[in-house]
Amino acid sequence: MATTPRSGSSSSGAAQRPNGTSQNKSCQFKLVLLGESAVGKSSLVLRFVKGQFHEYQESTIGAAFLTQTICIEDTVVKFEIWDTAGQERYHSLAPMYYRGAQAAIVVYDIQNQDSFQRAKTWVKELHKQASPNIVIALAGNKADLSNIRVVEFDEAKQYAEENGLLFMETSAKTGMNVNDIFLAIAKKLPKNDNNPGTVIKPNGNESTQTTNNCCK
Amino acid sequence: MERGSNYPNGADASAAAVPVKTTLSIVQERFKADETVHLIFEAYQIKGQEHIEGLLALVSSASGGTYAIISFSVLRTPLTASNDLKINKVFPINASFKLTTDSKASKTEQQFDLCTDDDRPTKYYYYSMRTDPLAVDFNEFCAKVNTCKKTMWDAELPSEAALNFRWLDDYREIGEVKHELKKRESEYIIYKDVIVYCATWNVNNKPCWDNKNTLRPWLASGKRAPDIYAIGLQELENTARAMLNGNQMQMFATQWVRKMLENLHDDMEYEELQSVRLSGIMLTIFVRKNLRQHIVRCRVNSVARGVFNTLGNKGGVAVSFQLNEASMCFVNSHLAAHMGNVAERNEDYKAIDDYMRFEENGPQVRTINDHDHIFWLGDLNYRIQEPNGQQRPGPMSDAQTFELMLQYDQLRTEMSYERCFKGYTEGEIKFAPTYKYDVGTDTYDTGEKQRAPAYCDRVLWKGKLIEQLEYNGVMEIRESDHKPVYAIFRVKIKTRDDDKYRKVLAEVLKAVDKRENDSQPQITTDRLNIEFGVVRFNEPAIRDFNVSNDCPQQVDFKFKVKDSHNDICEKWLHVDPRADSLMIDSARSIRVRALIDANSVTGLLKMICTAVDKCVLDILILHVRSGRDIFITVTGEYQPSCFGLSMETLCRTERPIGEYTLDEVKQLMLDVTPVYRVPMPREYFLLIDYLHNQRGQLFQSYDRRQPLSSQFNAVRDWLDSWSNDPFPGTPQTAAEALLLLLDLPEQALLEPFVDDLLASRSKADAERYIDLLSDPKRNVFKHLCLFLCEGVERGDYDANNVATIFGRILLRSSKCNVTIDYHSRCNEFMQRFIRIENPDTVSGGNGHGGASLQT
Repeated sequence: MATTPRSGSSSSGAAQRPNGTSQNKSCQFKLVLLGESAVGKSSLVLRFVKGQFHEYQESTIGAAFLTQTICIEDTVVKFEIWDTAGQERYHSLAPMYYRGAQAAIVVYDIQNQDSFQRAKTWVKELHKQASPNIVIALAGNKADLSNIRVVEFDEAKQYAEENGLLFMETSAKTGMNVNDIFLAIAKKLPKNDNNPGTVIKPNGNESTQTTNNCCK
Repeated sequence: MERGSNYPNGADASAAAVPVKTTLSIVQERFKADETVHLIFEAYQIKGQEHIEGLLALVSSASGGTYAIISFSVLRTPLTASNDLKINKVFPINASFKLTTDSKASKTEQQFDLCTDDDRPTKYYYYSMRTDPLAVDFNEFCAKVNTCKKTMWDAELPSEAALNFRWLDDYREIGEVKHELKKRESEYIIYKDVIVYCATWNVNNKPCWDNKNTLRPWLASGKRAPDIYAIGLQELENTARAMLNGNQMQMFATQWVRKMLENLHDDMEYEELQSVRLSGIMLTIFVRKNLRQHIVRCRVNSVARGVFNTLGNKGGVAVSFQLNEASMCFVNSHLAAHMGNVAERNEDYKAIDDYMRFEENGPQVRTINDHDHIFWLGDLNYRIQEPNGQQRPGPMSDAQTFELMLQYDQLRTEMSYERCFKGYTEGEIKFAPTYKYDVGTDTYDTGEKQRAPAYCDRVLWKGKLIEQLEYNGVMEIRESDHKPVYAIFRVKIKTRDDDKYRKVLAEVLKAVDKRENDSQPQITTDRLNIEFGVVRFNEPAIRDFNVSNDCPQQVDFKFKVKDSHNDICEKWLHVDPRADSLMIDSARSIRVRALIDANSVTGLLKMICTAVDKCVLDILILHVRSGRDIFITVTGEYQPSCFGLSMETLCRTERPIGEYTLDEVKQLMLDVTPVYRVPMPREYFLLIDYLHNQRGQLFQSYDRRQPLSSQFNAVRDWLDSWSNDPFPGTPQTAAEALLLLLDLPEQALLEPFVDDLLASRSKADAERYIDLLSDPKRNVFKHLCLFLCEGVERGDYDANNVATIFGRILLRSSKCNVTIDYHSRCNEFMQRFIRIENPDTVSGGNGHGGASLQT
């Protein structure tokens, strides 16, 4: 009856090659976008997830949810992205979204000094109240308008370095650095899940081997 | 088991292939080529009030040899593409599978349960009319499913192990990406040539010789260096002495492995992947050193036969592993000996084939037949059963002679009758029989038994993409009564092209993400702001808004519980419903009720003091399951009232509270300076003044959770406007209002000295703390005591009753750990102040307050 044996490769999502590469290892992360209203949070997500840009992006009244999966080396990283409303009146609801998040992108508008200050407040709040291992990226958005910038690249970069943040200037409009910032976050996130792959030693003994925490 | 032709009502899928796709063909698209959809049955599920349309498909897998029911939700009707089908459950039709109907249990008789394994049964309903002409009716569905189960599991199946449900893994949970990848396999799968060198030798209990004796003619033949060696030995050393001494036996084995490794092909470096030994039967796999890293899931096992099937002088050993994307299995067996034991050899084969299992991750096991490429070698012991009078061949016989002899080869005969090695292939034999020789010679048995020559030692294979390059016996190795045999194969190994795979994977992920994001359930609300306008104390207001489902699937929504207050909304709001489901194209209204009453006013005032926007009464989070959250802001401007405000705040007013804006009241509330416009709030004075002139038992009981009397709002307005009109309610309403005024402020009247006062032992003792209260509080307290005292004296109020009611309000404690005698202490404290002992003191204090109030 079973005349067509199939390769067993599909049955184990985390089968690992002894040389350290893994097959189809997959992780899922919750990522939240924070920042003042109209800095381009939704546009960044839309560019990342759908490759689109709308000049007049509707204001987010709530928290939009999208998923996007990317591959880094042999790891499949699925982002559950929560794009939150930036308006101040919704500030008190933010903890519901960054709680339990493994990553956050704090966005400001390079033409808007206030939005940069607000971003700093967000970073402080995250450091204080979010999960201690949260990976935070600072995104200076609207980089296509750098000729009328008010927030200097170096200033933001220095701030990010001092606070252990990933930093990039992005443009949802041109797509500049949009994938890169998500990719950088994915690389920085720990990817040893609860199910480390099983490695078979030549003598037939099995040992569980935990992969290194970061894909470099 | 028939497959593919089992379409209901005799309808054939191809006949039904009109330009418009049939539901059956759409369902079939969701499955792989070797999986057949036998029937579809329309069934729905009920969740809350809603029906969820669905389809059940009975599917079989040729590779798994099993059936299952796959349950789909139908996202769009009519069904036009397989994307409209979402797998929601998988029911393998295994031994524990059950389809049960229990008409007693529910509203409709047209229902049944499906259940497998440890899961709880899942309930399905069906309509009496089919909508799709190709769908079957319920009786047919049950009959077919039960037949499947019967044929699979009720009959005695000797090789149950051959059946598996692994094919279902692709349809469970995260199966979507896998499923897509599998479908596009041809885009990234390539085949790599691997040279497999199989060798077998019955060494006739001879020890492993020294280095002089080379095994190279046997193991290093062939031009190209092999990638994988599978070398099987039999009768490694089965003297009683050795068999009793495991260590010694192992030593022999190790010597052999070393010896073999030294004699492999020179052009390549090899390492031992795995050896497995059952008594004298040993199988060793050597692999090219840099091939090692591509091998995973290496497993070994053995099946013992021979004496009592346990001794292991006969039986088989096997190694299983995965190389790239291909699974490989090597078996070395030594089957029953002697010319007449053909049936026993067949039995041995079957036993090894049936019982050889390799552990998988989890509860699953692999059998020999679960591999892509299988090589079976060994001393299979089948003989040449030539008719009487046939000449035995000389040692150097030619191909013709071999062919003649092979006509009588038992293995070939048995295989042709499918009595053993079903599905296996053997290459052409162009070498002399390998048994039995006089040791050290190429001469057939000259001993007493004069055994007939035979092809005992063989190499067979099973599986696709295997090409035999060589198959030979080695005459020049003479240490055993058997000649060694080897066979070389070129195997095309299924391999993933990593670059192409990554590309396909990225595309698949993108498509799956897109589908997931695009099919995200969504609802729209007709407003994001619920505006209540002016909201007054104790006056409920209602607003309705609509939510509608305009996406092509059912949507579940609920209001999210907010961590700040552990509920979906603030105390002054009520939302109904809190959760519901919306079918496609349906809408419903949601009612929000605002009521600022005794139970919520304090919280509201507190929020107003801290909020950025005093008009935001709350923000509701409308959550769509597996979708986004929508924030709905509830606004309204609270019309300030004296209820809930502190004595201090009320003493700062210069005009009726009703004339203040909310912002002004907020300023008053936030003011902490001890500067007061009046000694005690006018509202208290007005109420007490009115009550003072009323007769009768006015303070019977008090419970702030009780609804207020019908005249209450008139009294509220009278107080909030410092009205000169006659009191607009009954004495009972006035009493109610007084108690509320005292009870509602966040801080009890006698705070912050409640604990001290409860501990005080005399009135004088207590007075010391009373003097420390803020002026408004102290004055209200004294005025109140005087009033109550008079009422008690007059005989209108029962001292004990009044002491209990007021004691609890004035000494209200927010602490949870109130002492057991808290209530009696409150009562005791109050009684000291409302019984006539020293009227002068009290009236003196009050005199001052009273005098101010008159101005």
